[in-house]
Amino acid sequence: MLDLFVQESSEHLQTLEADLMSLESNPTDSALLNSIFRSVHSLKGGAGFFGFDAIVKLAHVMESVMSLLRDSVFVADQSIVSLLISTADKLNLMIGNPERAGEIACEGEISGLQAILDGSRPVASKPAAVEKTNPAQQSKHKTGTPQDPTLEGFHFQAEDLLDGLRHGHNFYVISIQLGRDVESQNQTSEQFLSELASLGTLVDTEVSIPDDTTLESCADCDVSCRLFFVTALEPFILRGALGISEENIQQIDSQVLGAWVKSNATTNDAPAQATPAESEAPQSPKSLVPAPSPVASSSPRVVETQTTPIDPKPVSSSRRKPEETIRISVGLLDSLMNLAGEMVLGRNRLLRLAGRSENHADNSEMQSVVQEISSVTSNLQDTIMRARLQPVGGLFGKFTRIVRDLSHKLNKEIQLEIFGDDVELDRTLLEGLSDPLTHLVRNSVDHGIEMPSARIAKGKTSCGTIRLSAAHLAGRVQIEVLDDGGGMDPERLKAKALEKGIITTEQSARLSDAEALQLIFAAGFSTASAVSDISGRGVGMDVVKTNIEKLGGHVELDSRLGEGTRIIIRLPLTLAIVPALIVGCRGTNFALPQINVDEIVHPGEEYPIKTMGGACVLELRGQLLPIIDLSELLEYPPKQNAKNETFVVVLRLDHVTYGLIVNEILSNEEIVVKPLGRHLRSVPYYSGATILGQGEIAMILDPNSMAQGRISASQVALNASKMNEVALSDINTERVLIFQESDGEYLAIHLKKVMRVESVKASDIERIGSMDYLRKNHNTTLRLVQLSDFLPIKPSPQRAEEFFLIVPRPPFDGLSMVASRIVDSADLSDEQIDKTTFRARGVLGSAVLSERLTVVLDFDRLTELFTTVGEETSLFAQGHFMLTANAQQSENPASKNLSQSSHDPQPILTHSFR
Amino acid sequence: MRTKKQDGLLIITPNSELNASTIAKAAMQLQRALQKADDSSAVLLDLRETVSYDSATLKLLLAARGSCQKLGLGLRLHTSEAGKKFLTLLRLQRDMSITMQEADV
Repeated sequence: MLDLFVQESSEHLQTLEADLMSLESNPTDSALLNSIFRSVHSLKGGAGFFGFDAIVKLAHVMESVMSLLRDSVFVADQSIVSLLISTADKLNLMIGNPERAGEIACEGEISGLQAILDGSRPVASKPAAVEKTNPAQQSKHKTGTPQDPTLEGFHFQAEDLLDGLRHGHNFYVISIQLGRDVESQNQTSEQFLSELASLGTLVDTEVSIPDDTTLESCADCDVSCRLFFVTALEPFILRGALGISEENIQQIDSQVLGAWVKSNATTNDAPAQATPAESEAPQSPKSLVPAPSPVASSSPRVVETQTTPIDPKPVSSSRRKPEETIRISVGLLDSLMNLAGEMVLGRNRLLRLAGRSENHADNSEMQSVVQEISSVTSNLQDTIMRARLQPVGGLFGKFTRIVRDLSHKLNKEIQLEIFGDDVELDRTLLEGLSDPLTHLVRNSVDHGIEMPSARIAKGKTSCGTIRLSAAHLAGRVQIEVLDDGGGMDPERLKAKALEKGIITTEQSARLSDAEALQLIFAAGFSTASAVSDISGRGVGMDVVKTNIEKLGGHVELDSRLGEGTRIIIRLPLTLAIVPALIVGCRGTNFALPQINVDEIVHPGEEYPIKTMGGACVLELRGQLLPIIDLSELLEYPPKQNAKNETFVVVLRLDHVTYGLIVNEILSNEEIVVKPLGRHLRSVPYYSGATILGQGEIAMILDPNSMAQGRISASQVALNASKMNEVALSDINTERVLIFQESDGEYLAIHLKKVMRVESVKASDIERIGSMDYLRKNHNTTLRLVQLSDFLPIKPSPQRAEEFFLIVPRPPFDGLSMVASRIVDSADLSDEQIDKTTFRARGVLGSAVLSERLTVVLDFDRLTELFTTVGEETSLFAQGHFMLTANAQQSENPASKNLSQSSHDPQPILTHSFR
Repeated sequence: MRTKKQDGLLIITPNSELNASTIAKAAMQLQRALQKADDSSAVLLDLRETVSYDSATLKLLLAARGSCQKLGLGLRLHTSEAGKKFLTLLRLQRDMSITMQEADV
């Protein structure tokens, strides 16, 4: 129970903080003020239930101030917002350990808030009003229904609501300023009220002018009306009929009202308005609506229809439906996920068994059942996976506070724009993303955005912008931190790296601007001239990159001096299921994360393994790669006189690429990642375990930890220097994959563009409209692309029973090119390509490879063709979300334009801090 | 504003219909008129000539209500039918005695 209180209170505080951030730029926003009031009120209520007096005391005084702000007694200026934020911080600390809340020092906050209530602290608008009335009593008077704080100030009996509840009508509180919202819209107040009365029933009203208004000043004010209204109309119809906007109308949960009516009818309680003590408080002097008299409060009318069944209509989708959500523990979700994973593995084994020829002939009914179980299992797994997803908005929300506080501290003007806060990510990823993202945002504030005077001198606006966005892109989530600050100077980065000994003078001379930018990811690198408590210690960007890579993602950086910096983080949707390459070593199977696999080569004459300086290296197209023998790494006893078949899996990490020697390449599978048991966690090289389709357990190898301590710095340097030598001698030679779509032309694609090649069965392909898709195990699909649909090549008359899919690297890994045959791989230099004979969009030219004339594909141009068609198709296939999702791939992530284009979407949230 | 005292009641009648353009002047006059209510127990605001009610009328009424409270005076209204309907819709009749047009004051 206490845990639930802490959890709920934390959520209230999260909302509270976000609202307080917004309040600074919208101090008179009534919806915002109401929301803040509600959060504090709920928090106080919960704390009161548990008897946490210190929390109640602090929340109460904050609630009282919020009540005055809500009643427009004064307007919150920056100092008041800061005080409220500070109070929220103290409440946060208290909620963290409510039993010791009394030990948290909050006298400063209480006295500051009390000074506002007493009128002794100057406030932004007309503090005299505060002095004239007793605000504490005034706020006390405003105490409303325990069910819904929105109804505070209204007076009604249970029977007033019965008819509406019985008929499933909607209950609203309409808040308007008669002059601003009605009469300025060419409508008289009389017409408005008559129209309203004709649409339903007015339960009660609250009409007021600002408390300090006198006869002398009344001409300049506006009349506030709050109308508690019941009608059969849905919110959007009511808004249309009355000509008011969404912010003027708030729907009240009829479930809550129904429950209150029931309890009120049973207990004969007062209509939940004010306690007798409260009703004795003096009424607000400018309100014509009096508090209920003590007599009325203590002697309510008995509701005659107390036994009438009430079936209140649920609140519309615009508001949360409490009855449709329940809290479950993360542990339970994880258990469900594990069980679903087990089920998938069982399903895989079942499919394998059912696929055996002896079973197939005998029992076709079993085949059908197996297929059904397979389908249900996939759906079950997808659904549970979705339950683990959470919107990134929760994470993004905290940056409004961070940017506000830092910008104040640094005297900078910064506007934070947030896009895509409804994009969802696995909670494990969200947790892992928090620290790296915080670091990036703090860096943008501290190093990125210039001081206002410097910006003006550069011809920019004094207020800088940091844009934080999230979007789905090709089955992944792309998080972007962009600022329009000073950008990075590659020459300065090089000089600093040289000074810190991170690079040598020779290396510095060879580094391109783009490569120089990557230096910020080096350990210990910082360009800050002074270390501050915000940033500048040189510990960070390398950790950011490492942490993101641990999450299966990667970081890209782009910066232009004087224009700004863009950092892109690409993450998988989930860590629970990952594509993996299954390899064998001495008869044991292992899984390697596909994201790290660059290519697989068969060492021999073409790719010799050599010994250099006591270390084994693989010569790969002129490049020397350090290699690790998996059997040696795992300390398998050496096999004498055994000439094992070997493969080298080329693994690409952040700063190093190396080869891993294995005995077998078994398959590509999407594996369910299972955490290692406690006794195995200290064993290096493994990041988890999985169960393969055959039911065998396979350990998941961790390419990072395998490389640690084994790939020496000298090998990396050798690799790098050799790479540079190669670059100088054979700058344009690259590896290509040769394949055929049909039995016609040979086609070649650069291997660096290819992530993997999959073998698939035609029966696994699903068609929507004119497009084919391969549904993966989790919530992703691969769109199949026939190159003959885009290029002047021979089309395939019919697909074979089995064929190949060539899957490009992210961000285009939502697409796959169909191939009937994988022919070979070869080296191809730019000079070998004939760019004149065979010309078409999406084609670089032709070359003779494997003794055949081969069409060399221009993959970047091809993706433009693919995605354009994807977009057009999605327009015709409205309702097919899979197609729409694919259309999202059309966004060009490689865009280098750092400035905001004219058709940029409007941010969902914008916060400005000065 | 015309003022008249009758049976301990200060009767105040605006010179013209109350609306957005007359509100400022009327409010000032009303303020001055209320100063004369020292020996009265209540004020009756005669708004029978005000046919159409809008936010300006409401502002005046609400401000008048506040001023009367401060002076310890009760406030009654003498309204037209339309005025009563409007104020009733807003539930303002609950603590403000509204006198119908036909009533003889």
